[in-house]
Amino acid sequence: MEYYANRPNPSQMMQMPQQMYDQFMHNLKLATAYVPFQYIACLYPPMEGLKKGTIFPELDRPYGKDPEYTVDA
Amino acid sequence: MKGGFIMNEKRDKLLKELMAADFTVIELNLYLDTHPYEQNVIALRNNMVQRAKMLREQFEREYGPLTSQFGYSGCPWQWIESPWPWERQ
Repeated sequence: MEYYANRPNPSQMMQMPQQMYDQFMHNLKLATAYVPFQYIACLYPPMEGLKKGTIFPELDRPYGKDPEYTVDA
Repeated sequence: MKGGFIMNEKRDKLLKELMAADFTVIELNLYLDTHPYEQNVIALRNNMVQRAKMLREQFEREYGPLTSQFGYSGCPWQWIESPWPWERQ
């Protein structure tokens, strides 16, 4: 567990000695995906939902607005 | 078609409301797939199904069939009466 807590960031990994890198990669588990469970709060009215493409405000994240989820804008 | 613009505006408004209701039903269906025990959401969804059904019936009564394979047609064949996409004003 602490092994994963102290996991190196990508640039540290680039600088690792080959042996350390191999060991690190060898110990990795296959990917485990996690998605937080959605709890309904409020909804957009039908017409607004149709315009925005979702009736759930928590899923309304137009591309390009949030820099964290924007690649090329 | 004289006065077609007013007609179209009303028709479009009703059609859009139907689309919005249908879309809300789809969204709530997807939500319920992963939250099957949320009674209030089921009630909301059932209400919206009712609303969509009502709007669809109203639209078809006033402007003719929305699809060519469901619903009954008067004579002459009503499907070709509704404006084609290139006939929009």
